Amino acid sequence: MLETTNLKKTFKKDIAVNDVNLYLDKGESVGLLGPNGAGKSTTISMISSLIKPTAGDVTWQGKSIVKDPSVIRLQLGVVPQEIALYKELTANENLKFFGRIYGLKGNLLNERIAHVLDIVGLTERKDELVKNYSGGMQRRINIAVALLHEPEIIIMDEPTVGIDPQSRNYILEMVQKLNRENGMTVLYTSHYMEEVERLCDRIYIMDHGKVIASGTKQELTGILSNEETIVLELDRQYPQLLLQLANIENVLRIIETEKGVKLIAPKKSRLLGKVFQMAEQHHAQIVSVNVQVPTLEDVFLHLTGRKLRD
Amino acid sequence: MLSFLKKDVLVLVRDRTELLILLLMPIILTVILGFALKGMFGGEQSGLDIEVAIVNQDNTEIGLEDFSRKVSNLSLPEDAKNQLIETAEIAAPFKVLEEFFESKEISEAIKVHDMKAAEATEALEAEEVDAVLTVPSGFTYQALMKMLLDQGEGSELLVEEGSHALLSASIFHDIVTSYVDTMNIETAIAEATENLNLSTERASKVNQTELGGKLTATDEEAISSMEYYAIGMAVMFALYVASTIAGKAYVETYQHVFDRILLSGKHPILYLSGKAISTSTLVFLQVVILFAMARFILQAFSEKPLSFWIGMLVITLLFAICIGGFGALLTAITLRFKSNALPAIFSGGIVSIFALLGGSFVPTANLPEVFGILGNWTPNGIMLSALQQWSQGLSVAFITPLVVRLLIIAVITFGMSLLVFSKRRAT
Ligand SMILES: Nc1ncnc2c1ncn2[C@@H]1O[C@H](COP(=O)(O)OP(=O)(O)OP(=O)(O)O)[C@@H](O)[C@H]1O
Ligand SMILES: [Mg+2]
Repeated sequence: MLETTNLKKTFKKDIAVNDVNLYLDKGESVGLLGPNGAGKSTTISMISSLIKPTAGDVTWQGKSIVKDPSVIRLQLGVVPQEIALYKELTANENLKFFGRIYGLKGNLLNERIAHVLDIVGLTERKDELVKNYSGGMQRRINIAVALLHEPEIIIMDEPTVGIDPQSRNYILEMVQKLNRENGMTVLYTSHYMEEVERLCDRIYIMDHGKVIASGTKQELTGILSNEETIVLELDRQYPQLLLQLANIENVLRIIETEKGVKLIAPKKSRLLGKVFQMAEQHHAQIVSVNVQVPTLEDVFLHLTGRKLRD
Repeated sequence: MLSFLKKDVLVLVRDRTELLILLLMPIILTVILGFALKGMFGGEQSGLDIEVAIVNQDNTEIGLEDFSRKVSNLSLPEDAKNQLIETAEIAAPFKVLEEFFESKEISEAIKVHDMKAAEATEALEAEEVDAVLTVPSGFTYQALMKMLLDQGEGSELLVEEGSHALLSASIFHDIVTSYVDTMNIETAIAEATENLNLSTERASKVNQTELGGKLTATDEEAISSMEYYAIGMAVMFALYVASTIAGKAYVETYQHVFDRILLSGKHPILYLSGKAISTSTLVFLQVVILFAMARFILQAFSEKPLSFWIGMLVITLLFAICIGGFGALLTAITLRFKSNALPAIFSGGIVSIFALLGGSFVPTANLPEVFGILGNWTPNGIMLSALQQWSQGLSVAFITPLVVRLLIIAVITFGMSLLVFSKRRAT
């Protein structure tokens, strides 16, 4: 339904997006996961025809939207990363204005406004100025505006940044409902692995402007199916111990965590004995040991050597 | 298109400081200049340097607290209460007056000294100050009660005028009167000297008799200094609407609502035209309100027939269309360079230059000739000449070329804005 081919964007000399190929089928929920500056927002801006690609194409039902943006505009809802609202107006006034520029009016407009306010749970507070809303409420109205014209596909750019867990949960549930119950196609951008894991059928992982991996969660974690992760919690940090652990033959990667260390190693490499021995040597107290199957976070780590977030 | 206009008006109306600047400032400056520069119009010459003592026996903070407490105890919905308390904080009468005295334009003309009552009386006797303004205790609270809840008797500001500087003192008196009127505070201004309770009579007497200076450009009817500046200030402050609109357009881009408008598939030109129409509409409303205030508060143009006012409206409409072109041009440049530098330069400097050239401060007849020539191509200068000639009873034939010039400028500025705006998409 929506597809990008070799999508590329350069700003002056910087390559923000580099040969990105992705597609969305009808009714799918697709995640775009990547750290700050990975090029997620730039990709989305090109898909929604706000900026022109340097190279490559975006097609909607086979038609190029780079050549003619109007083919997608009315089918597409975009939730920008920023709160794109008039802060000095009330939620209701914002919805009225944006509804009108989408050509809605009269009873239909009022019905739609009532409907989206209900979806985001802000019916009671629609007459308050947006600037007096909490961050979470502003985010919700930001989403409501994108739903007004009942788009077939909605693109959300980090709709949960900087808000409290309750609002976040509310938004996640809402997105899930739109996708599962209303059959809306969703492209969901985030740098929270848990969100994408929970919401999305398929996931693209981006870094430095490139898609570095894609597939279902199983396929992605399958990249690490031959590895296991050992999580070691210690009473405090032991830098010397870390160095020594890193030198164990089978350890593929070693990551310092808040209170201890994470080791990625081939399955069945039976490292635990060695690990305990070394801890003993450094008089380190082991609080807990855990052998885990890899998460998406670990996949990202494995592919880039960095964490998604600091 | 109508939705763009409605939204722009709403956004502006919510911005109280902007509104005060666009509507309150010009009327106050009209009063000041109307008196101060009366000399230019044949009357007595006098510079403006008023020394005023303010005796504040009120405590704004406590007044506000008392008011909030009172409101909290009312049986009103929570929203309405908050609204009232917020309004009170913004409109706290003495705070607004104080801010007004501190503003750049006013503080150059009026020097304010905070004093105790006894000190002030002494200073007045020693002729160190020209007038004393006393704010009685409980003023904030009572004025707010009257203003917002329509309860109680309101309060009184006391103006004591020194007999040594009658002109300065009466200008000050008039400024305070217009402030009270504009703020719509149900307070009275009492005269502490001889004539208590004669405040309103005296205020209107000031308006009618002190406006003696007359400018005679032709052998026709003359225009008073107050009338001249009512027009001069209105046309000057109308220019600020253009930069305000462009400034708000800048906010729309950096808050990404502009992106959202583009996403709706609306043609960007529609957005730009919307800005022109919003500017024009706001200018038209602003100038009409200012003339109405000049008419009813300052008693300017008081004996003009209906046909005069219809002509004024028509000329104002064309002027508004012209400023709409400026609004569009400033918006286009702001969006093209993604910077609000231009609206800032425009409101911070260009408006003043235009105002000077166009004769808003001093009639161009009193300035070097080159001012008048350049001023004839500023929208405010053209509008000022047109209205001045109209109010002196010149026929439509005299005014037509001026009005045509306004329309030419409108077409040029709007055309330029389209050109600049079409370049924007290339980035
Ligand atoms: N208008 C622009 N001009 C120049 N560089 C830009 C512009 N927009 C984005 N970039 C650069 O492109 C890169 C990708 O930015 P983008 O905003 O797409 O990342 P992102 O994945 O959305 O990150 P975040 O999680 O922080 O939102 C960054 O290095 C950024 O500095
Ligand atoms: Mg982003």
